Amino acid sequence: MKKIIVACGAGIATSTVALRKLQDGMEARGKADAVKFTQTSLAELPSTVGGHDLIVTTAQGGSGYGIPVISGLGLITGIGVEKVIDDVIKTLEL
Amino acid sequence: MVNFSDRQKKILSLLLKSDDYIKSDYIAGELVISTKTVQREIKSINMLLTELEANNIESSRGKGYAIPLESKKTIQLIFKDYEDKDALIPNMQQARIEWIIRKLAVLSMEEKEYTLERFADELFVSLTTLKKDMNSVKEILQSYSIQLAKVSNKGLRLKGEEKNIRQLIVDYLVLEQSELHLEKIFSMSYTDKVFVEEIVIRNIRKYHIPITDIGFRNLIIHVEIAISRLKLANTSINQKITNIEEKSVEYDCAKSIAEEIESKIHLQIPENEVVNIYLHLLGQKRMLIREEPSSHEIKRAESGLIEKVLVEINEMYQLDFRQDEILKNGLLLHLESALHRIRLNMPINNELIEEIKTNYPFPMQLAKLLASSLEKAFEIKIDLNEVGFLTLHFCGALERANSIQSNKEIRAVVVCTTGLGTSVLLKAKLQSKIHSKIKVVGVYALYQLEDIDFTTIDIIITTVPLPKKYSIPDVVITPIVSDIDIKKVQDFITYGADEFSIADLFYEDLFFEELNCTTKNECLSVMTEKLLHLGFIDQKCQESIFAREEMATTEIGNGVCVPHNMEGNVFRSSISVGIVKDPILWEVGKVQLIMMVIIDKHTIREYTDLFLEIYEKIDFQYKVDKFIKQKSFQYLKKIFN
Repeated sequence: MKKIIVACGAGIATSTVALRKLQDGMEARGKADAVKFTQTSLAELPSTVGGHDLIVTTAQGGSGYGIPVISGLGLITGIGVEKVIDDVIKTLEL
Repeated sequence: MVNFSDRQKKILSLLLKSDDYIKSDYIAGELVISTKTVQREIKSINMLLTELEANNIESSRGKGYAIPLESKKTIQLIFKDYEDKDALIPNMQQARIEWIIRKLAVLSMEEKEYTLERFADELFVSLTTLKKDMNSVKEILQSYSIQLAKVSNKGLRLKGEEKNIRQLIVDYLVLEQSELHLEKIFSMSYTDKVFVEEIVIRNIRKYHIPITDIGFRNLIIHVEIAISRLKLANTSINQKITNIEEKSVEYDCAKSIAEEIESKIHLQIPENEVVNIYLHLLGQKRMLIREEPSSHEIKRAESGLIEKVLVEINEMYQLDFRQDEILKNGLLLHLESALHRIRLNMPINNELIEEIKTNYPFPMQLAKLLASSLEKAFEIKIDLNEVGFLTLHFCGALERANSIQSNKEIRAVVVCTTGLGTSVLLKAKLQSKIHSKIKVVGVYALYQLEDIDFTTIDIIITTVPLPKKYSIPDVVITPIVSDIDIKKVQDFITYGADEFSIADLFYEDLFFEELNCTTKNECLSVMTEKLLHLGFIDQKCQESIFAREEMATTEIGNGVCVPHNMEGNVFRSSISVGIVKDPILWEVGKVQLIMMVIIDKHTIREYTDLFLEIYEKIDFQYKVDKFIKQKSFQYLKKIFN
């Protein structure tokens, strides 16, 4: 089981949408059971990131706290959802 | 009585102004006298001070003169003989202007006049400077409809309607000066003052006219001014005798006060002054009395209007004050005097106005709503001070609405299918974990529910989903009562039973069907300014919306973005919707539909669900397109219902 943390500005709006799309995408590929999600805000990220395998964020840049980071912008703009899902699967070696 | 000469007063004035020693050269230079004279004058001042049992002016070789701290007050008091609290000669223009107006007001109480030269002399300024100041003075006087008249070659005095001159006296002398000082200005002896106060108190008690302490002070001051002015020849107020209810207690009271004063201090009080007292009795701020919300005929109009506004508030903000009798009576009572004030153009000063503005923007918005209705209905103009007072009534109402919600004890019935044993345990657990807020009034089996009268019950807590909906809400929990279960029940207690509907968050005022903006920030500005203006959010919240956008874009695809708040105060949760005329580049892509979600996280639970729900409405381009094409608030309400 891999753990993904999804972060956006306030931890309530765009991350909710991003998380939903990510979930749907993983389900479509039959990998839904292989991942677990946490939702957080950028401000809380440093304290909540521990124990996760991947960060998906809707904000630009930012350090990875030692774990891989994937930009979730594609998820929320709707352009490139598939690519993000591909990246997640590749990065987590699912 | 100790009398200082003008020169001595000037020296004292200079010394009072300084916290340090002043050299005699300086004093000599200011007064254009020799240092020898200064020394002599100081000597005679000290003799007078000794007579007054005040500490003498200290002198120190090489440093000069100073008034010892403990004597400053005494000397300042002596200066009330000098007629202005500005024994300290004002040296800033603004201060001088006020000084001149106060001086003119004082002079009008004494029927004296000053020449320009004398003003210049006392202020230590040149005639040219003084004339410049005088222009500003005239402007201020103009706002009271008072002119400066020249009395042959004796000097200037105020000329205008008595009513206006009195208003000026109140504003410039009463509000600014200490009581001590007033005694000197008003030509009334101490005993007369006591008489007047006693007469007024007795009469307002006798006629049961409830006014506040502030109102009482105001009234006394107006009566005292009236008496002082009457003692001068021909300065009775020229009050138009209209709008008088001769049968009212206020009028009876005014008459009674006037009669008693007449006999006590032998002064003829004309009818006009009685009317004046009457008007002030009407206009003073009322104290809230619990008994008899008396139903005058005239009140009907206001009463109906208040009801109408409360209905409006309920529709606009989903805040129901319609049953709040305290609010309604409070407003009625307040308006009774406030409307008199407003109609008679008796401005009132609200010292709290700035605090009210910053701390209670939302209640203020409600008060403005009422004020504008009043303005329309009665063709009057209500200033911000008055709106401030109305605001306080709404603050109280909001407070009451909140406390009802938070103090309420929730009455629950527990439904349990597995047997009595579990249900008893369940009841015990619920009560021990949330005992202060919940009362389990009974434990039932599913089939028994049909026989229960739910009128006094708030919630059904059940371990199995109920086969049908009852008239009250239900919460399904597990028989073991986990922490999640407790949270569910607590949520119900905190947020109430109301099924939360997104549709309630939309307001017609917050629907921007055609935003003519070209940049992201422009859009945000337009929309947040409106929120601010409506009193829904504070400035900090507004800033956080921009800050959030800085942090990361809030676009969620299909040309939609969802800006939202992070910090600050949300006084009312809302979703503003904006349709941009031509799609603009947001951050990553083009945006045409802005759904600004402003949520008070304390009052709305499941706010992440809320975003999902919004997302579901716009997750395909065709949905967004349809919405943009419709451009209608009704459609918006419909799709979210």
